[in-house]
Amino acid sequence: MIDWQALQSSLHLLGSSYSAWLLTIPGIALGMLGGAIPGVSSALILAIVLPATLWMSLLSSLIFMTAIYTGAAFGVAIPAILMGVPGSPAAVATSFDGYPMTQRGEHNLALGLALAASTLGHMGAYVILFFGIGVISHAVLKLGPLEMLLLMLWGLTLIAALRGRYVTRSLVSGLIGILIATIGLSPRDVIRGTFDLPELLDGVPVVPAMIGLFAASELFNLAGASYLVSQSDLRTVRIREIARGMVDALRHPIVILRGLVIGATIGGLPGVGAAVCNLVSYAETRRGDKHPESFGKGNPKGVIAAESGNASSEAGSMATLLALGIPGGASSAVMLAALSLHDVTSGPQFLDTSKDVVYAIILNNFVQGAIMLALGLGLIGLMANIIRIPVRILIPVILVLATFGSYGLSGNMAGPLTMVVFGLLGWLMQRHDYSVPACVVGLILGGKVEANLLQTYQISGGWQLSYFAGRPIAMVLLLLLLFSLFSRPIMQWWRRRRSASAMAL
Amino acid sequence: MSREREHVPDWEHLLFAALLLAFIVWYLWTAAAASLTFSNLILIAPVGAVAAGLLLYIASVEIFGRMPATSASAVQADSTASTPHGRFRSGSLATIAALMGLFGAFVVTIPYIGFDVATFLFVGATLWLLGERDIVVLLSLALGIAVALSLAALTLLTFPMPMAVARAVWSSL
Repeated sequence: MIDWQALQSSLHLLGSSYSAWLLTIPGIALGMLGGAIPGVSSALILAIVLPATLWMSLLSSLIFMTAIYTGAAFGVAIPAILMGVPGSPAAVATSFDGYPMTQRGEHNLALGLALAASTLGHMGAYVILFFGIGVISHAVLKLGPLEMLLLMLWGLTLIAALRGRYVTRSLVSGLIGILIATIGLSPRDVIRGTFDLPELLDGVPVVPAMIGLFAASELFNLAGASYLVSQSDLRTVRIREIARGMVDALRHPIVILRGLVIGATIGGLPGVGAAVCNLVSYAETRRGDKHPESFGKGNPKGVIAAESGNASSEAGSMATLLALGIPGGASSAVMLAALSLHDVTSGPQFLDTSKDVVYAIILNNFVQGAIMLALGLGLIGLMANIIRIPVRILIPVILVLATFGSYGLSGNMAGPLTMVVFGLLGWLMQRHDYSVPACVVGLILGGKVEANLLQTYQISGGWQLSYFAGRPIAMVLLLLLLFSLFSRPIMQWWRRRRSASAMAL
Repeated sequence: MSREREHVPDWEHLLFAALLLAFIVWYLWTAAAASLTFSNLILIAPVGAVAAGLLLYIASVEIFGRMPATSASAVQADSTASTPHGRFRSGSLATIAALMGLFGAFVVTIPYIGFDVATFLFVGATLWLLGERDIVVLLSLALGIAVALSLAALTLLTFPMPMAVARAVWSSL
C-alpha cells in the first residue's frame, strides 16, 4: 500500500524545500482569520491567493493552499461557537451545541473542544489518506447517484432531530428549506420560482441565505442586550479552560474516530464534502448517545462530532482531487486551477508519476495539524474576547462583515439582498418556533437531493428493481441508514414491552 | 386542562403559517405551470404536499386548541412556556424592527451611495440605535470600520464593489 521509495523521495522533497515550510504558517493563519469572518469561505481566500501561487513551486503552492484550507476549516467554528453564526455550511453543526455552551459561559471550553477535535480529525483523516489514497479514490468512482442520494438522506434525517418545541413545525421548516433549495434552473432545465429575476437562475445563494437565517435569529434578538454572555463573571478568556476543553475532547475518542472516518470517506464525494460531513457526524453521534435530547442544548460531544467531521473532510476531498482530478467542492476546484497553472493535470496518472509530491503533501499536513493547534490556541485566546465586546458594537460589525463576505461570494448585490430577505424569514421562524437549523439543513442538501434523485430515477430506468439489486454499496448504505434510524426506537419499544410484561407478572 | 378552555389562537403565528402555506402553493403552482412532468415534480411535489399538510394541521391546532393526545415533549414544553414567545431574550420589538429596517436600508442603498458611505452611515446609526451615546466613539468606530472594509473590498475582492469616495481616494494614493 505504501510506496517506500516515493515516501523517501517525498521526505527529501520536504527537506529541501524551505519555501513550502515557510508558507505553511501564514497559510494556516490566513485561513483561520478568513474563516472566522462569516461569509468568507475557504474558496474565496483560495481564489484571492491563486495568482500568488504562480510564483511558487508546485509543492509549495499545494502546501500553501492546503494550509489555508486547514486553517479555514477550523476558523469557521469560531463565530459558530461564539455568536451562533456559522461562516460556512461546514460549521453548521458546530453551532448547534457550541453556541448554547457560549450562552452558558462555557465558550472557553467549547473553543478548546473544537480546536482539539478539529486537529485530531484533520491529522487522523490524513493518516487514513496516507494508507488508503488508492482505495479511497477507487471507492469514490464506484459511488453513483443512488449512493449519493442515500448519503444526502442521511444528512436530512437531522431535520427530525433538530426540533425545537414542536416536531411538526421543525419538519415544516426543513421541508421549506428543501423547497427553497430547488428554486432556480432545475436539473431538467425548468425555471422554477425565480420571480423572473436572472440572479435567481443559479438558485438561492446558499451561504448568504444561511448567514441571514442564523444571524437574524440570533443577532436581531440580541438588540437591547448588553453582552453575549449575560453574567459578567463568566465573560472571561481563560487559557486554562480552553486547555481543559482540549483535554476533554480526548475523552471521547469514539466520537472523534467516527467523525474522521465519516469525513475522510464522505468528504471525498464530489459536491458533497464538508457541508454534509459535519451534519452526518453530528447526527450519528446524537443518535448513538444515551441522552440524545441533551444535544442542541450545549452537549460537548456535539461540538466534537461536528468539528472532527468537518476538519477531516479536507483529507477526503484531497484524495479525489489528487487521485482522480475531480474537485469535491469550490475550494478544491480552485486548487485544481492552481494545478493547471503549473501545467499539471491531477488524476490517476498524477498519482502514479508524482507519488512523492502526494506523500509530501500528506506528511506536511500532519505537521499542519500541530501548527494549527499552536496557532489556534493563540487565535481563539484572542477571538474569545469577542464576548467581552458590547453587543451594540458587535451587531453592526458582524452584519457589515457578513454583507462584505456575501458580496464577495456572489459578485453582485444578490448575495447581500438574499441575506436581508432570509434574515427576516429567520427571525419570523425563530419567533414562532420553526427550527432555523432544520431549514438550513434542508437548504444545503435540497438541491443535491433532487439532482441525485432524478439521476437515480433515470439510470434505474424508472425504478427498475434490478438496478438497485446490482448496487451492493447502496444496499449496505441503506441498511446502515435504516439501522441508525430505527435501532434505538425499536430497542426502546422492546425494553418498554419487556418491563411492561414484567410489571404485569 | 384549564389552558384548553382559555385557548386563544396566536393570530400572528397563524398569519406566518398562512404565508408559508401561500409560498408552498405558489411555488408548486408555478413549477407545475412551467413543466407538468414527473421529472420536474419528483421531489418538490411530495415535499410540498407534506409541508402543506403539516401546516394545515399546525393551523388547526392553533385555531381549535391542542388535540387531547399531545406528545410528552409538547406537554413539557407547554408547561415551561408561559408567554407565546418565550425564547425572546431581550430587545423590544421596536428596536428589532428598527435594526432590521436599518440593515435592509444599508444593503439596498449600497449600489446608490456606495459601500463605503453606506457602511459608515449604517454602523453609526446602528450604534446610536443600540445605545451608544458617546459621539466620539460612535463616529470613530463607524469611520474605522468603513475605511478598513472599503480597503479590504478594494484590494481583495475580484468583483468591484460600488464605492462613493473610497476608490477615488485609493487610486490617487
